[in-house]
Amino acid sequence: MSPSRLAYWEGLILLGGFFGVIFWKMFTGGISLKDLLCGDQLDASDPSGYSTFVSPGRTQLLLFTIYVAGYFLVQVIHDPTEFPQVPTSLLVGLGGSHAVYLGGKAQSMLLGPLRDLFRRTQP
Amino acid sequence: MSKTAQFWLSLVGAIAVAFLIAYFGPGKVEDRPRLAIEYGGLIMIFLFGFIILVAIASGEINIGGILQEKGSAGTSTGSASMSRFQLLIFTFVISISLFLIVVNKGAFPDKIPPEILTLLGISASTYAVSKGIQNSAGNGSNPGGPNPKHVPPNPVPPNPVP
Repeated sequence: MSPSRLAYWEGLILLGGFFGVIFWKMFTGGISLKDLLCGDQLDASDPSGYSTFVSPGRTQLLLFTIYVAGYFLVQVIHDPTEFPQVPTSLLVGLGGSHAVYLGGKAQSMLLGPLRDLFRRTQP
Repeated sequence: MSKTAQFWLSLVGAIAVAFLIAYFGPGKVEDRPRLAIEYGGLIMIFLFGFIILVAIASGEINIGGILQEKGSAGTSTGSASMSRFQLLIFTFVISISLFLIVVNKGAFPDKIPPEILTLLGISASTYAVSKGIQNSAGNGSNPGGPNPKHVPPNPVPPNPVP
């Protein structure tokens, strides 16, 4: 077996092993995905100061991430000799999606729900 | 035998096997030192990766909290973090792509397109900023009770003394 062939099999075993172990742990609950789409928000009515809600920002980020990752993988599988050209519009969209997620997270964790914010600012 | 001794013994054994393969294998005599170093390096790198892989699979290295959000005190809030999850997905996708390209081309790509670096930059920056927000706000759902740093002001004014 030539060194390049040996390197190929080693890479395949190690990469496949790492991905396999992580996915296996995700499916069996060893790596918890609990509340992946739920965010925390400042909440005066909760004794801990925070409550949990289903976050639209997280949901759209998950969908966008799956779309971009799938697009990228399909492009590489079609032509596995070079990295694919990612359209600028897709990058801008991904950046926007991340900005929405971060903005929503900052607002809910630092300021609380908008209705509470308006209530606090009223005299 | 201790684990450290087992590790060093297997490492030395693997390198010795690699040298033997290179010495007794086919090829010119002048190529054998190069082949021995190549086989030895490959087996050593594989062993390092494989030891870590086995430790993760057996639970000796615990990666159960790899996706969990951490609070300001370093404690886990118990919920999964979307920023960590997307960083994991993009890291997987880019590494699989790089492996496929190297295997098919037989060489490292000449140029990494800036779009790929931007993609990874966006993903990693989001993780960093999200961690900053989490730390600024306290530890989120805070299963251990209220966080004194972030208890909101009481909206009900105290009763006036008659």
